[in-house]
Amino acid sequence: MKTIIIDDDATARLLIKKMCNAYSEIEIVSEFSNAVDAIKFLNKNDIEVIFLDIHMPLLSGFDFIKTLKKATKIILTSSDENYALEAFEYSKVVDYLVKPISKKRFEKSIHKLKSVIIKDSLVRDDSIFKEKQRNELYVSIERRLVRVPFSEINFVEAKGDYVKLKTDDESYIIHSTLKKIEAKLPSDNFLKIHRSFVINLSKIIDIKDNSVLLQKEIIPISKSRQIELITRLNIL
Amino acid sequence: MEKPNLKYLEALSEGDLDFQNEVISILKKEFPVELNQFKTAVFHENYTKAAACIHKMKLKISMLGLQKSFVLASEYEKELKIGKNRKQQEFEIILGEIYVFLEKI
Repeated sequence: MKTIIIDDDATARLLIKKMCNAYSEIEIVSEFSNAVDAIKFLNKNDIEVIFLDIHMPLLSGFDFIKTLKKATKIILTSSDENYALEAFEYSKVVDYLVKPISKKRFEKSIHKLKSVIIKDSLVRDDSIFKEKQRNELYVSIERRLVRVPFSEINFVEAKGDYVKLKTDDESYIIHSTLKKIEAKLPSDNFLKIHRSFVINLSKIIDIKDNSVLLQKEIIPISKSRQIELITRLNIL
Repeated sequence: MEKPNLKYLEALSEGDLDFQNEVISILKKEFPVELNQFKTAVFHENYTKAAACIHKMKLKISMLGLQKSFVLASEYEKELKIGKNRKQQEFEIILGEIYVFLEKI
Protein backbone atom coordinates (compact mmCIF):
# COMPACT_ATOMS: atom_id res chain seq x y z
CA MET A 1 0.00 0.00 0.00
CA LYS A 2 1.59 3.22 -1.14
CA THR A 3 1.46 5.54 1.84
CA ILE A 4 2.34 9.10 2.79
CA ILE A 5 2.55 10.84 6.15
CA ILE A 6 1.39 14.43 6.61
CA ASP A 7 2.28 16.02 9.95
CA ASP A 8 3.95 19.31 10.77
CA ASP A 9 5.75 17.61 13.67
CA ALA A 10 8.95 15.81 12.64
CA THR A 11 8.83 13.62 15.78
CA ALA A 12 5.32 12.46 14.94
CA ARG A 13 6.35 11.59 11.38
CA LEU A 14 9.34 9.63 12.63
CA LEU A 15 7.24 7.65 15.13
CA ILE A 16 4.65 6.73 12.50
CA LYS A 17 7.37 5.74 10.05
CA LYS A 18 8.94 3.51 12.67
CA MET A 19 5.64 1.78 13.39
CA CYS A 20 4.93 1.32 9.67
CA ASN A 21 8.27 -0.47 9.29
CA ALA A 22 6.77 -3.47 11.06
CA TYR A 23 4.31 -3.96 8.17
CA SER A 24 5.83 -5.03 4.87
CA GLU A 25 2.62 -4.18 3.00
CA ILE A 26 2.97 -0.50 3.89
CA GLU A 27 5.37 1.42 1.71
CA ILE A 28 6.06 4.97 2.88
CA VAL A 29 6.74 6.81 -0.36
CA SER A 30 6.94 10.32 1.03
CA GLU A 31 6.26 12.56 4.03
CA PHE A 32 5.14 16.17 4.29
CA SER A 33 5.21 18.83 6.99
CA ASN A 34 2.20 20.58 5.47
CA ALA A 35 -0.92 19.62 3.52
CA VAL A 36 -0.34 22.04 0.64
CA ASP A 37 2.84 20.24 -0.47
CA ALA A 38 1.00 16.93 -0.09
CA ILE A 39 -1.79 18.11 -2.42
CA LYS A 40 0.80 18.97 -5.10
CA PHE A 41 2.32 15.49 -4.68
CA LEU A 42 -1.07 13.76 -4.86
CA ASN A 43 -1.89 15.53 -8.12
CA LYS A 44 0.90 13.55 -9.74
CA ASN A 45 0.98 10.33 -7.71
CA ASP A 46 -1.49 7.61 -6.78
CA ILE A 47 -1.50 6.95 -3.06
CA GLU A 48 -3.64 4.42 -1.21
CA VAL A 49 -3.13 5.44 2.40
CA ILE A 50 -2.48 8.73 4.20
CA PHE A 51 -1.52 9.22 7.83
CA LEU A 52 -2.86 12.69 8.38
CA ASP A 53 -2.48 15.06 11.31
CA ILE A 54 -5.54 17.22 12.00
CA HIS A 55 -3.81 20.28 13.43
CA MET A 56 -1.50 21.78 10.86
CA PRO A 57 -0.59 25.27 9.73
CA LEU A 58 -1.86 26.58 6.34
CA LEU A 59 -4.45 23.86 5.87
CA SER A 60 -5.99 21.63 8.55
CA GLY A 61 -6.36 17.88 8.12
CA PHE A 62 -10.13 18.22 7.67
CA ASP A 63 -9.74 20.92 5.01
CA PHE A 64 -7.21 18.70 3.28
CA ILE A 65 -9.65 15.75 3.16
CA LYS A 66 -12.17 17.98 1.36
CA THR A 67 -9.65 18.51 -1.46
CA LEU A 68 -9.17 14.77 -2.07
CA LYS A 69 -10.80 13.43 -5.21
CA LYS A 70 -9.38 9.91 -5.30
CA ALA A 71 -10.51 7.05 -3.06
CA THR A 72 -7.61 7.29 -0.66
CA LYS A 73 -7.86 5.77 2.82
CA ILE A 74 -7.02 8.08 5.68
CA ILE A 75 -5.85 7.37 9.19
CA LEU A 76 -6.17 10.57 11.18
CA THR A 77 -3.74 11.37 13.96
CA SER A 78 -4.16 13.98 16.66
CA SER A 79 -3.10 14.85 20.19
CA ASP A 80 -6.78 15.52 20.91
CA GLU A 81 -9.55 13.00 21.37
CA ASN A 82 -12.14 15.68 20.74
CA TYR A 83 -12.22 15.45 16.94
CA ALA A 84 -13.11 11.75 16.71
CA LEU A 85 -16.80 12.36 16.02
CA GLU A 86 -16.11 14.89 13.28
CA ALA A 87 -13.41 12.62 11.84
CA PHE A 88 -15.78 9.78 11.06
CA GLU A 89 -18.11 12.08 9.16
CA TYR A 90 -15.60 11.71 6.31
CA SER A 91 -16.04 8.46 4.42
CA LYS A 92 -12.33 8.28 3.59
CA VAL A 93 -11.38 8.15 7.27
CA VAL A 94 -10.65 4.60 8.35
CA ASP A 95 -9.37 5.27 11.86
CA TYR A 96 -8.52 7.98 14.35
CA LEU A 97 -5.36 7.63 16.41
CA VAL A 98 -4.58 9.72 19.47
CA LYS A 99 -0.89 10.56 19.90
CA PRO A 100 1.32 9.20 21.23
CA ILE A 101 0.19 6.07 19.42
CA SER A 102 0.87 2.75 21.11
CA LYS A 103 2.05 -0.20 19.06
CA LYS A 104 -1.03 -2.19 20.02
CA ARG A 105 -3.38 0.56 18.89
CA PHE A 106 -1.39 1.02 15.68
CA GLU A 107 -1.63 -2.70 14.96
CA LYS A 108 -5.43 -2.53 15.34
CA SER A 109 -5.52 0.39 12.99
CA ILE A 110 -3.53 -1.41 10.29
CA HIS A 111 -5.76 -4.45 10.69
CA LYS A 112 -8.82 -2.23 10.21
CA LEU A 113 -7.21 -0.56 7.20
CA LYS A 114 -6.52 -3.91 5.54
CA SER A 115 -10.09 -5.10 6.17
CA VAL A 116 -11.54 -1.93 4.66
CA ILE A 117 -9.30 -2.20 1.58
CA ILE A 118 -10.19 -5.88 1.07
CA LYS A 119 -13.91 -5.11 1.50
CA ASP A 120 -13.67 -2.23 -0.99
CA SER A 121 -11.95 -4.41 -3.57
CA LEU A 122 -14.62 -7.13 -3.18
CA VAL A 123 -17.37 -4.55 -3.68
CA ARG A 124 -15.49 -3.22 -6.73
CA ASP A 125 -15.05 -6.72 -8.22
CA ASP A 126 -18.71 -7.49 -7.58
CA SER A 127 -19.88 -4.31 -9.26
CA ILE A 128 -17.61 -4.98 -12.28
CA PHE A 129 -19.07 -8.50 -12.46
CA LYS A 130 -22.62 -7.17 -12.25
CA GLU A 131 -21.80 -4.53 -14.83
CA LYS A 132 -20.50 -7.25 -17.18
CA GLN A 133 -23.61 -9.31 -16.54
CA ARG A 134 -25.68 -6.33 -17.50
CA ASN A 135 -23.83 -5.92 -20.78
CA GLU A 136 -24.31 -9.42 -22.11
CA LEU A 137 -26.56 -12.39 -22.36
CA TYR A 138 -25.71 -16.10 -22.37
CA VAL A 139 -27.86 -18.26 -24.64
CA SER A 140 -28.05 -22.03 -24.59
CA ILE A 141 -27.23 -23.41 -28.05
CA GLU A 142 -26.64 -27.14 -28.55
CA ARG A 143 -25.43 -27.74 -24.99
CA ARG A 144 -23.19 -24.68 -25.14
CA LEU A 145 -23.64 -21.35 -23.45
CA VAL A 146 -22.87 -18.72 -26.03
CA ARG A 147 -22.07 -15.18 -24.93
CA VAL A 148 -23.94 -12.50 -26.83
CA PRO A 149 -23.13 -8.87 -25.99
CA PHE A 150 -26.25 -6.69 -25.97
CA SER A 151 -24.57 -4.31 -28.37
CA GLU A 152 -24.41 -7.04 -31.05
CA ILE A 153 -28.09 -7.96 -30.92
CA ASN A 154 -30.16 -6.48 -33.74
CA PHE A 155 -33.53 -7.88 -32.78
CA VAL A 156 -35.31 -10.82 -31.19
CA GLU A 157 -38.25 -12.46 -32.94
CA ALA A 158 -40.86 -14.77 -31.42
CA LYS A 159 -41.31 -18.02 -33.30
CA GLY A 160 -43.81 -20.25 -31.52
CA ASP A 161 -42.05 -21.98 -28.61
CA TYR A 162 -38.77 -20.51 -29.80
CA VAL A 163 -37.23 -17.13 -30.38
CA LYS A 164 -34.78 -16.04 -33.02
CA LEU A 165 -32.00 -13.84 -31.72
CA LYS A 166 -30.35 -12.00 -34.61
CA THR A 167 -26.92 -10.41 -34.33
CA ASP A 168 -24.80 -8.82 -37.08
CA ASP A 169 -23.19 -12.16 -37.96
CA GLU A 170 -25.28 -14.87 -36.31
CA SER A 171 -28.83 -16.02 -35.94
CA TYR A 172 -29.62 -18.12 -32.84
CA ILE A 173 -32.80 -20.15 -32.39
CA ILE A 174 -33.45 -20.50 -28.66
CA HIS A 175 -36.11 -22.39 -26.77
CA SER A 176 -37.59 -19.49 -24.83
CA THR A 177 -40.23 -16.78 -24.99
CA LEU A 178 -39.97 -13.22 -26.17
CA LYS A 179 -41.22 -12.04 -22.78
CA LYS A 180 -38.39 -13.82 -20.94
CA ILE A 181 -35.70 -12.43 -23.22
CA GLU A 182 -37.20 -8.96 -23.19
CA ALA A 183 -36.90 -9.00 -19.38
CA LYS A 184 -33.17 -9.69 -19.67
CA LEU A 185 -32.50 -6.87 -22.11
CA PRO A 186 -31.83 -3.27 -20.96
CA SER A 187 -35.05 -1.30 -21.54
CA ASP A 188 -33.16 1.88 -22.45
CA ASN A 189 -31.75 0.20 -25.60
CA PHE A 190 -34.39 -2.38 -26.48
CA LEU A 191 -38.04 -1.89 -27.32
CA LYS A 192 -40.88 -4.21 -28.24
CA ILE A 193 -42.30 -2.72 -31.44
CA HIS A 194 -44.52 -5.62 -32.39
CA ARG A 195 -45.98 -8.58 -30.51
CA SER A 196 -43.31 -10.74 -32.18
CA PHE A 197 -40.34 -8.35 -32.21
CA VAL A 198 -38.03 -6.66 -29.72
CA ILE A 199 -35.47 -4.48 -31.44
CA ASN A 200 -32.19 -2.82 -30.52
CA LEU A 201 -32.91 0.90 -31.01
CA SER A 202 -29.26 1.68 -31.73
CA LYS A 203 -29.35 -0.64 -34.76
CA ILE A 204 -32.14 1.17 -36.61
CA ILE A 205 -31.12 2.35 -40.07
CA ASP A 206 -34.42 3.96 -40.97
CA ILE A 207 -38.14 3.91 -40.32
CA LYS A 208 -40.66 3.98 -43.11
CA ASP A 209 -44.43 3.82 -42.78
CA ASN A 210 -45.10 0.87 -40.47
CA SER A 211 -41.69 -0.77 -40.56
CA VAL A 212 -38.14 -0.43 -39.31
CA LEU A 213 -35.03 -1.29 -41.26
CA LEU A 214 -32.41 -3.04 -39.11
CA GLN A 215 -29.32 -4.11 -41.04
CA LYS A 216 -30.95 -5.92 -43.96
CA GLU A 217 -34.13 -6.90 -42.15
CA ILE A 218 -37.45 -5.11 -42.28
CA ILE A 219 -39.36 -5.37 -39.01
CA PRO A 220 -43.05 -4.45 -38.75
CA ILE A 221 -44.25 -1.90 -36.20
CA SER A 222 -47.58 -2.46 -34.46
CA LYS A 223 -49.91 0.53 -34.59
CA SER A 224 -50.16 0.43 -30.79
CA ARG A 225 -46.36 0.65 -30.47
CA GLN A 226 -45.71 3.44 -32.95
CA ILE A 227 -46.10 6.33 -30.52
CA GLU A 228 -43.77 4.75 -27.96
CA LEU A 229 -41.15 4.15 -30.64
CA ILE A 230 -41.37 7.73 -31.90
CA THR A 231 -41.02 9.12 -28.37
CA ARG A 232 -37.87 7.07 -27.86
CA LEU A 233 -36.14 8.50 -30.93
CA ASN A 234 -34.03 11.61 -30.96
CA ILE A 235 -35.82 13.34 -33.83
CA LEU A 236 -34.48 16.59 -35.26
CA MET B 1 5.51 15.67 40.56
CA GLU B 2 5.86 13.26 37.63
CA LYS B 3 9.22 13.17 35.87
CA PRO B 4 9.91 12.89 32.13
CA ASN B 5 11.05 9.44 30.99
CA LEU B 6 11.80 7.49 27.83
CA LYS B 7 9.63 4.44 28.50
CA TYR B 8 7.35 5.03 25.50
CA LEU B 9 10.30 5.56 23.18
CA GLU B 10 12.12 2.48 24.50
CA ALA B 11 9.03 0.30 24.07
CA LEU B 12 8.53 1.56 20.54
CA SER B 13 12.14 1.22 19.45
CA GLU B 14 12.55 -2.39 20.70
CA GLY B 15 16.26 -1.91 21.19
CA ASP B 16 16.77 0.06 17.99
CA LEU B 17 19.23 2.58 19.41
CA ASP B 18 19.66 4.43 16.12
CA PHE B 19 15.93 5.13 16.08
CA GLN B 20 15.96 6.21 19.74
CA ASN B 21 18.86 8.57 19.10
CA GLU B 22 17.17 9.98 16.03
CA VAL B 23 14.00 10.78 17.99
CA ILE B 24 15.96 12.24 20.92
CA SER B 25 17.97 14.38 18.55
CA ILE B 26 14.74 15.80 17.03
CA LEU B 27 13.31 16.41 20.51
CA LYS B 28 16.48 18.24 21.56
CA LYS B 29 16.38 20.33 18.41
CA GLU B 30 12.65 21.13 18.27
CA PHE B 31 11.74 21.55 21.94
CA PRO B 32 13.83 24.67 22.73
CA VAL B 33 12.47 26.33 19.56
CA GLU B 34 8.87 25.51 20.49
CA LEU B 35 9.46 26.64 24.08
CA ASN B 36 10.81 29.96 22.85
CA GLN B 37 7.89 30.42 20.43
CA PHE B 38 5.45 29.74 23.26
CA LYS B 39 7.12 32.21 25.64
CA THR B 40 7.22 34.91 22.96
CA ALA B 41 3.54 34.37 22.11
CA VAL B 42 2.50 34.58 25.78
CA PHE B 43 4.71 37.66 26.34
CA HIS B 44 2.94 39.40 23.45
CA GLU B 45 -0.40 38.12 24.73
CA ASN B 46 -0.94 36.34 21.43
CA TYR B 47 -2.93 33.57 23.06
CA THR B 48 -4.08 31.94 19.84
CA LYS B 49 -0.44 31.45 18.82
CA ALA B 50 0.44 30.30 22.35
CA ALA B 51 -2.36 27.70 22.20
CA ALA B 52 -1.03 26.45 18.85
CA CYS B 53 2.47 26.16 20.38
CA ILE B 54 1.10 24.10 23.26
CA HIS B 55 -0.78 21.89 20.85
CA LYS B 56 2.45 21.10 19.06
CA MET B 57 4.28 20.43 22.33
CA LYS B 58 1.59 18.05 23.57
CA LEU B 59 3.00 15.09 21.65
CA LYS B 60 6.40 15.61 23.25
CA ILE B 61 4.83 15.96 26.70
CA SER B 62 2.84 12.74 26.33
CA MET B 63 5.63 10.72 24.73
CA LEU B 64 7.89 11.63 27.66
CA GLY B 65 5.39 9.88 29.92
CA LEU B 66 3.95 13.08 31.47
CA GLN B 67 0.29 12.11 31.54
CA LYS B 68 -0.89 14.61 34.18
CA SER B 69 1.09 17.35 32.49
CA PHE B 70 -0.59 16.41 29.20
CA VAL B 71 -4.00 16.96 30.82
CA LEU B 72 -2.84 20.32 32.17
CA ALA B 73 -1.47 21.27 28.74
CA SER B 74 -4.83 20.44 27.14
CA GLU B 75 -6.70 22.52 29.71
CA TYR B 76 -4.28 25.41 29.30
CA GLU B 77 -4.58 25.21 25.51
CA LYS B 78 -8.38 25.48 25.81
CA GLU B 79 -8.04 28.36 28.29
CA LEU B 80 -5.77 30.32 25.96
CA LYS B 81 -8.17 29.81 23.06
CA ILE B 82 -10.79 31.76 24.99
CA GLY B 83 -8.31 34.48 25.87
CA LYS B 84 -7.49 33.47 29.46
CA ASN B 85 -4.03 32.86 30.83
CA ARG B 86 -4.25 31.44 34.34
CA LYS B 87 -2.17 28.27 34.07
CA GLN B 88 1.01 29.83 32.65
CA GLN B 89 3.15 29.44 35.75
CA GLU B 90 2.08 25.86 36.37
CA PHE B 91 2.70 24.95 32.72
CA GLU B 92 6.08 26.61 32.59
CA ILE B 93 7.29 24.41 35.46
CA ILE B 94 6.52 21.37 33.27
CA LEU B 95 8.34 22.90 30.33
CA GLY B 96 11.32 23.57 32.59
CA GLU B 97 11.38 19.93 33.69
CA ILE B 98 11.37 18.77 30.06
CA TYR B 99 14.06 21.25 29.10
CA VAL B 100 16.39 20.02 31.88
CA PHE B 101 15.63 16.37 31.05
CA LEU B 102 16.45 16.85 27.37
CA GLU B 103 19.67 18.67 28.28
CA LYS B 104 20.78 15.71 30.38
CA ILE B 105 20.09 12.84 27.99
